[in-house]
Amino acid sequence: MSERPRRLDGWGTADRERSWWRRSYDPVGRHTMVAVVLGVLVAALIGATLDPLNLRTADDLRRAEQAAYQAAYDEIEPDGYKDGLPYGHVQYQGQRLVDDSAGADAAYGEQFRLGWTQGWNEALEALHAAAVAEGLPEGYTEFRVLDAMVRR
Amino acid sequence: MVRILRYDLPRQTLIAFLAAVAVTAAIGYMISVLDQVTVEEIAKSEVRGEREGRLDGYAAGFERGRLDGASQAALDLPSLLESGDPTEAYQQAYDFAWNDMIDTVLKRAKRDKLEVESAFESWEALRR
Repeated sequence: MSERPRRLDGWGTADRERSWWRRSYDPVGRHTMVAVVLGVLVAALIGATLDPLNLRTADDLRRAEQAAYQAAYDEIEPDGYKDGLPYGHVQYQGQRLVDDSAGADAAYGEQFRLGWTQGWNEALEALHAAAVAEGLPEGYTEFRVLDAMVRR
Repeated sequence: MVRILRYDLPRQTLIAFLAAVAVTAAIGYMISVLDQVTVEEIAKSEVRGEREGRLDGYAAGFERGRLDGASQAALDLPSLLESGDPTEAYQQAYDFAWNDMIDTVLKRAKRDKLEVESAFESWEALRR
């Protein structure tokens, strides 16, 4: 036996000349491989979860943008809902009372149609007056767009 | 504990483990350093995200509210036609049509605008 029984010197020398599939079990190779795989996994796991170096990478840009997006989205969404609710209410009435002529005999429907027409037409006049008050020359985009609008 | 390292198998295993950890950490560090961004870039991303979040959040909320409002109006309409206040109906429709005209005109004018001067601010001030 070897003078240094704790070392693996000479271990497997009897198998050296054999084909690899006939050699005996190699404990060092198997354990080394397992240790390498475990080492890679442990390091990757620590890096991915604990981020010990606390580095800012391009991935942080995306996450920062997404976090800011979500916070702003959640903050403003109720305001949009609050504004959309009456808008949808009146818009639907417009579709039914004006476009479909529902409630033709009712005073409510009649007044709604009147407001629908007058609001549109008077806004057109007010916009024209505002453009004139701004001193814009004739033929400007504002006037061309206003002239193309159809009165109700 | 240290004595166990006198044996080849545990020592070999430990060295392989530590070497794998070190090589993986080194590769990760190199990738991170090459990919590193500044605080200013992150701040810009946050501003961009906030701006887009506000636009999308408002639009989504508005659309949700619009649909809910329409559903509510469908339920309310028979009773409104029967006993609703005509003055209120007139005012609601007037304001809606007024703002609708302003929005329509502003949208078209902004799309076609080529000149420097504009009446957009005074138009927007007319909204009710």
